[in-house]
Amino acid sequence: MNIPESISQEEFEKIERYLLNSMGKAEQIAFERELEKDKDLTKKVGAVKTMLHGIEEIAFREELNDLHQEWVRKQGRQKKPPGIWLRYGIAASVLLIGGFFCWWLWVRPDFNEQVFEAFYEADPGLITAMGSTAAYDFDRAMVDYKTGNYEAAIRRWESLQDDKPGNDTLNYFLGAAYLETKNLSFSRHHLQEVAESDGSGFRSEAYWYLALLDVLERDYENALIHLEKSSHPGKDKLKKTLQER
Amino acid sequence: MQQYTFQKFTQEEILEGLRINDSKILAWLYQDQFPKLEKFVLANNGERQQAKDIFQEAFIVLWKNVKSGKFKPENGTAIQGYLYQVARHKWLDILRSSRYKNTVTLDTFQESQTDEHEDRESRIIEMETAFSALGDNCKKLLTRFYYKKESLSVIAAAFDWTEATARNNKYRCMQRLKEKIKGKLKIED
Repeated sequence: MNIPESISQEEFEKIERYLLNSMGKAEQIAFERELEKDKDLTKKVGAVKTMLHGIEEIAFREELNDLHQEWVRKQGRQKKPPGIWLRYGIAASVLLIGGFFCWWLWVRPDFNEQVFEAFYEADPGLITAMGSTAAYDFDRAMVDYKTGNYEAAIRRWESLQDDKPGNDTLNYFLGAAYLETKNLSFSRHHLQEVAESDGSGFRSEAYWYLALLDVLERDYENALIHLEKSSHPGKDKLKKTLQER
Repeated sequence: MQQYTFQKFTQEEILEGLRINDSKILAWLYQDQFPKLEKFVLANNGERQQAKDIFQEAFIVLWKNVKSGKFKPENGTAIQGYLYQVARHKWLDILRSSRYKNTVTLDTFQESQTDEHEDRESRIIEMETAFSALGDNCKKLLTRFYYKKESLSVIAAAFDWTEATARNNKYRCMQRLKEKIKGKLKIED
């Protein structure tokens, strides 16, 4: 059967109520009787059903892909199973001792990376109340951010930015998400926007993360300048560390 | 926020979660079952991407069968077992079809399977093309209402509309979608 030409709003909403099981018993019986007689109505119900199922399946497939990405990310953070360590324990111990000397000589993290690791802590994000606020998309992205799905969070927040380009909350969390994905220049761009926006509640935190970005990029002088503008509790300790280097 | 992945759910909770597309239930079920299936596919000449595709197809089968009432759990782990078994059989079908592709019987079997699969695939591809060509607001509005099961009042608040505007816009968006699929898709019975 082909898609019918036109369905009025009233008729569409009646069909929708039938398909979503939100009709009362009496209305449902009457509608089903009508369906038995009216071939055109049957066709219209079929068309609405096709669209409803299609929309749901598209959204469901997208959600499955998001879930998979989340699973992959979690796997990446998991350690190898203990069985493997036991089986290769002795060999690993020997390699570990040799490896330690190699690491000490050649691959020990540089000062900037050590300091960054010691002071960096990702912003924990905001509390969300999905589905009950005007900021559903923002909240959905916040859930992605908090579950470590940074790419998805960035995608959602960036699409919101088209409507609100100068929004400090969006800029701040985009900066935080890009920092988590080690995309330093994008992170700096967004954090800088926040730092320069007067009256933003995120300014102090933005300066703190800008200082840490400076540290990573070995620009210690700029880091000290940014720290001066932050009231982060770790500010003095980081200043001292940089001054004593 | 992340603790839900470690919770156990009853069959009734999982069933309801699948019916209403509850993200936390879907996430839990995915993470609970995918590792087993991936292990099976990798141990049987498969690759990670194939494991993902097969598992997601099986998940869609489970989801559709729960929604249509074709699947009803009969014990405390029936849903998880069903998901794993559907995925496992799908992979075994693929292995058999390529291994025995020269035999007449299985050729016929494979063709009919492929035709059915391709029909399903082309239907969803047509829908996806039409859906993605809708405006951003339409896509969000329809997804929130039909997938997330949000009420019109919640949606209206999110878009800064009145409830009547949300209702009218929903109808307009559905009309637009209908126009885009007209002549390209056959309707369901």
